[in-house]
Amino acid sequence: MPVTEPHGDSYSAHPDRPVVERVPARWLFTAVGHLAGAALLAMVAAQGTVVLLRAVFGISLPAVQDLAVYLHAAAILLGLSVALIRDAHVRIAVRSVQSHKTDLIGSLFLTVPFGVLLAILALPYAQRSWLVGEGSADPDGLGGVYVIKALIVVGSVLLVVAGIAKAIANGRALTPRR
Amino acid sequence: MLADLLDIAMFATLCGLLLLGYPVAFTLAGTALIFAALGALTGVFDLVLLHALPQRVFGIITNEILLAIPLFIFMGVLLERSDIARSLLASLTKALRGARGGTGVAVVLVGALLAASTGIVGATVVTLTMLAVPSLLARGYPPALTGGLVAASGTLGQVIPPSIVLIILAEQIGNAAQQASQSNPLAGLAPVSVGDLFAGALIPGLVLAALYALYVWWRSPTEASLTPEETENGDSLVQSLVAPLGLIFAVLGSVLAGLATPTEAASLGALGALMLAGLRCSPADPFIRLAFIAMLGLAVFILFAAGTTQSVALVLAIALTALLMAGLVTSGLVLARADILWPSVQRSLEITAMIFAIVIAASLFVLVFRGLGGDALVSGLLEIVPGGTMGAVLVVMLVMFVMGFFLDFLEIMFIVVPLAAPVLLQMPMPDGSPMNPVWLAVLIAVNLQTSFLTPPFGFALFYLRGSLSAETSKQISAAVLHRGVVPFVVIQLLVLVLLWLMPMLATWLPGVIYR
Repeated sequence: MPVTEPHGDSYSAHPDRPVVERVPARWLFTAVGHLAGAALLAMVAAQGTVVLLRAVFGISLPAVQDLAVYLHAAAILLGLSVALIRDAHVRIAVRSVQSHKTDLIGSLFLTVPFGVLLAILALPYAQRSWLVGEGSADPDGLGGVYVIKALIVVGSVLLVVAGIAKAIANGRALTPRR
Repeated sequence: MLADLLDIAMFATLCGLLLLGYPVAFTLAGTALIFAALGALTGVFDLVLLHALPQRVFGIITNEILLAIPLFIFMGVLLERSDIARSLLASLTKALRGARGGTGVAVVLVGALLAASTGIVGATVVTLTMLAVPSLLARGYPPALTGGLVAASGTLGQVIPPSIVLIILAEQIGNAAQQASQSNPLAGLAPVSVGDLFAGALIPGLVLAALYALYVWWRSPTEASLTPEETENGDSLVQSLVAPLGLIFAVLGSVLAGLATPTEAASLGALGALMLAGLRCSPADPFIRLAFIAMLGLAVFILFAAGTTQSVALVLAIALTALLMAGLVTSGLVLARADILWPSVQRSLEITAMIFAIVIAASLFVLVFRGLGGDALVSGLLEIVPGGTMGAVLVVMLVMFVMGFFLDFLEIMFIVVPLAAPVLLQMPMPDGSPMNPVWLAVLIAVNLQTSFLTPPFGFALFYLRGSLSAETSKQISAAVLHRGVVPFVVIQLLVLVLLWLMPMLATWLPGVIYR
């Protein structure tokens, strides 16, 4: 099954889109990918525990429920850049082979500005939350909402780094080897 | 003057840029930013609006309903990777052998079952392509019919619940209904839940699958008989069918019966899939087998003795829960050793990130489009359409169908629903009653399902062509495939007409269940 098998160290989505370029800072995104995967798996475990205990014993665990939501949010925020590096984002593919020129320009003028904007806007947003030590909406909840808001900044900075790494890789693929 | 046209230009630019083939999510976000800047320069856009973005992102990623998405994805990926789909198709083909169109009908059935269990179009189409295309061609099915059948059956996951798209659509339609009620309290709109939409889409989805099966039965050739190898292969029908069916009924049933929220049902589905996959990898493992018995015991306990204070029952429940957890951990370990668990987690992560990136980016796009005055444009257009409410609905449906040739379900839904649905929902039906949001949502879902199949940019077509082997790819060329999907798109349009004439198809079941 080509689609389900990982290509080397990546778990690339599309059989017709093998990862051709060497992306700089690949180790960073391998590490982030493992971290985000761990968050996702932990989310499944936490959410499963909440549901099981509520259904069987009628026990509600708002703190664990909050934890599941935080883990889910962390997996998404960290996963955005990982998916970009691994080419897992959906494209409207006219050609079956990706164009390095499109990817170079797209990374620089579409992805990077979005990441920069989100980082700039999310920074004061997270700071405000951090300063007041914002808790959960539920008084019995886990609290520490500011951690997730700070992760928005981390996730968008990673997205910028991933965008630049992709731009470099595609730029390299375009320049003929000497 | 030029500044007034920015909203239209923004939309046109988006369509153009998407065709370049850069990832959809960042094309949406980037286009929005370019036009926010242009709007600010010409003085028609207030950049302060962008400050809503971090709050929006936070709202999307901490939304408890959307938490169901990674859980359903994980369930689907696990079922796909543990070969449950493969054995399902093999045993259904065996069961239906000799019957006219048996293999073709088996493909539709497996498509519908996989749809109900995973709801991921890409995964279903790829799995069906690799499993079914060679055997359909070997049985003498024409290449066009084969391609169309596999692509169309793979997209059933969008309309047959529990589907990820329906969860997102319920969120969108729910927001639109709320918005419509706020600006027009007399509209008398009922709130919409994911459960409503699951119930509403079930019958139309089954009708669609039945019509596919009927068409294949009518068009099928006299089948060549199975090779001895194929008769040998495959597990017993009971074994390979009952387990996934049980999982589907547990997940869907608990949502429809109101026992569980979609998120809760999805996490049960993820845990159930983990155990099924674990059992497939290591069929004799005593812990996993015991865990299945414990699960049945717990189900009985929950249904008949929940909230009991009898100590005997409680001790029993604690023991069963412990057994179940032991089985889950064992399954996880077995799958980790078989190198299935971690790749499945990573794949789920990618799909989840991809979907949420589109949700976030589309929310930014709509934010900027509104800021440029785009919503006034849309509601203005919808109000001047002749034919009143039905005319407006018809126009929106036509626009969505045409957009489906170029864009994908998610993008169309995120752009069109927030802009058009609040306007549509305020319009009364011809008999004066308020419009049923569930009906509108199911119309949208069935309509957008065509977007996967309509060339040149149908995702099901890409996935299918991408996973054909070298020799089958020669038989099913792009042109053959495009010809092959036409009848199936016509069937979808037929179901749309049926829904139009008989809204009962979508509104009856939610009315019965959630009275």
